[in-house]
Amino acid sequence: MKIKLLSGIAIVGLALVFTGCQKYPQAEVDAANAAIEATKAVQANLYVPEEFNALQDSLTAVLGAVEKEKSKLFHNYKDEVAKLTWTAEQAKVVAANAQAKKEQYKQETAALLVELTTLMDQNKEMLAKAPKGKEGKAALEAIATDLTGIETGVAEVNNKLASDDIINALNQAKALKEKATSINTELSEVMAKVKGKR
Amino acid sequence: MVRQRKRKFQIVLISLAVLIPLSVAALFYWGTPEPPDIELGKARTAIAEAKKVIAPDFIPPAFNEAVILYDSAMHFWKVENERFILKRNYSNARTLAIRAEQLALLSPKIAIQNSEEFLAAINRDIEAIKKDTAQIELLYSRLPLPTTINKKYSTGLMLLKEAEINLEQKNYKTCRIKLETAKSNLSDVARHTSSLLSDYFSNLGTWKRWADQTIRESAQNQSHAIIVDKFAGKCYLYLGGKLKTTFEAELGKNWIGEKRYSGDKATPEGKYRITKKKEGHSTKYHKAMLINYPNDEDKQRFQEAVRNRELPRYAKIGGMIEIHGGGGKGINWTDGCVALENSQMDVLYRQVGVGCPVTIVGSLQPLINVIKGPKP
Repeated sequence: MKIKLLSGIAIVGLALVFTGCQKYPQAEVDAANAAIEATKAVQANLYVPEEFNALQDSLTAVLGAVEKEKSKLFHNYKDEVAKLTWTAEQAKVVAANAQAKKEQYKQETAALLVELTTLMDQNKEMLAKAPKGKEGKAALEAIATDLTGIETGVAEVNNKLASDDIINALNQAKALKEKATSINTELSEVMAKVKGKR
Repeated sequence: MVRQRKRKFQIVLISLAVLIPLSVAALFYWGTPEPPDIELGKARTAIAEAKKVIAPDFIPPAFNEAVILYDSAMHFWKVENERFILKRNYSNARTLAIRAEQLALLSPKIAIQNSEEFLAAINRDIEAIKKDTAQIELLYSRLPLPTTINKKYSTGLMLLKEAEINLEQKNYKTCRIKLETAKSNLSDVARHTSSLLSDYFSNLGTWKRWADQTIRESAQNQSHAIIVDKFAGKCYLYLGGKLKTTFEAELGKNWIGEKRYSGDKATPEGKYRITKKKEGHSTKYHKAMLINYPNDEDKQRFQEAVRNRELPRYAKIGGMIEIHGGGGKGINWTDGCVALENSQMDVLYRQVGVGCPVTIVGSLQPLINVIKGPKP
């Protein structure tokens, strides 16, 4: 009778040992790593650097926790699996945010290019009318060169957009707009003076 | 007897069934090495905190080393976890994690120091470029520069603006690249401008002599004389050796340097006289006074240039250089003539006659005064 009891206890014990030793969550680790790689592919590190860093930090922390669990005699990865799953889901959110930010920058650049086109058209029109009315010492040739430079810059911005270099495209477009605006202001003042004299 | 032996056997068996698992449990409990999770956790936190503080462009080698050490520690931890639990040794992983934490804690200080030095250098460079640009700007609009130089100047200013935008956005690497390119463009412009001006102003002695002779002649004859200072963009009217009136003058598009041939759009330099006065239908520029360009010196210089093949054989010396009206445009636009505003032309036209000396010089002031002087 006692032998049977002891055997029973041993079986229950072994069952507990085996049920307590969960398998290493390799699939979840791989999925989380793949999700992070996917965020890198959409340049989340450039467009949403803080979110990207937070995501990477959380994955590093979970991987540490997984390893800690693995160091134990009896592993239970339940919490870690949940965290890995959350990280993979969060990576999708970060990737979507990065793409949204990228799209926002693209649209800002496109809007700046539209404004630039308008400004450049105005500038060219005023420049054509300016020679006889332009007062002051600014050489019209220099302004014409500036306008050519802006046009070259616009082509560069378009090339950057085409090669997905969105942040640099946006910054260059901002600089170009500032330059085009200053020329516009200068020429508008001249044209106003010319009108005033008539 | 048999029964007693059986009972003893049962007691031993029960004792073994209890003691063996207990011993094994004790062995695992006290024999399992402590994992390096605390050390790795600290290293991880230190790296994460450092990452928040350090700008991507200022990541010091210490930080990269910390990350590598952390990854190595994780690797060793994993390797040890693959071994039998009682045979695991985490000391290597622990040591690496401790070193990773130390370096990660040190990194922000190094990064901040680097970034401060970098930003100070960038700001110094921007200020220096702006100062140089202001100097160029002072002369730039007045000088007829080649298209390539104009383009470099325009591009340089644009790149400077881009550098400032990138600096605001903390894109330091891009800022540095843009700044270096801006600097290179603007330095080329400064070099070209400086060389152009120093070459040009080497004639200052001659110009001053011509101007002195003209003023002396005016004083001796108690007559009018005109001196045109091309760099200042002024036309001076003298009477009896004294300055009477100053007019704003506009010149040929390529006014800097001597006139060399017909169509070069340069305003000649030399001592001339008014040969003819025109008004009404005889000029399209309100009123005009023709001068005797080319004079003998101009002709000699032109012939030498053709002989030396500096000019093509079919080149012509040109002529029809006048002081005329139609000015006031604010730019140098003529084909080589000197243009005054119509009202000023009226004043000049009234006072001077045929034979009046007209001396056209590059400048009456040394270059240093021209550069330091206010923008005319």
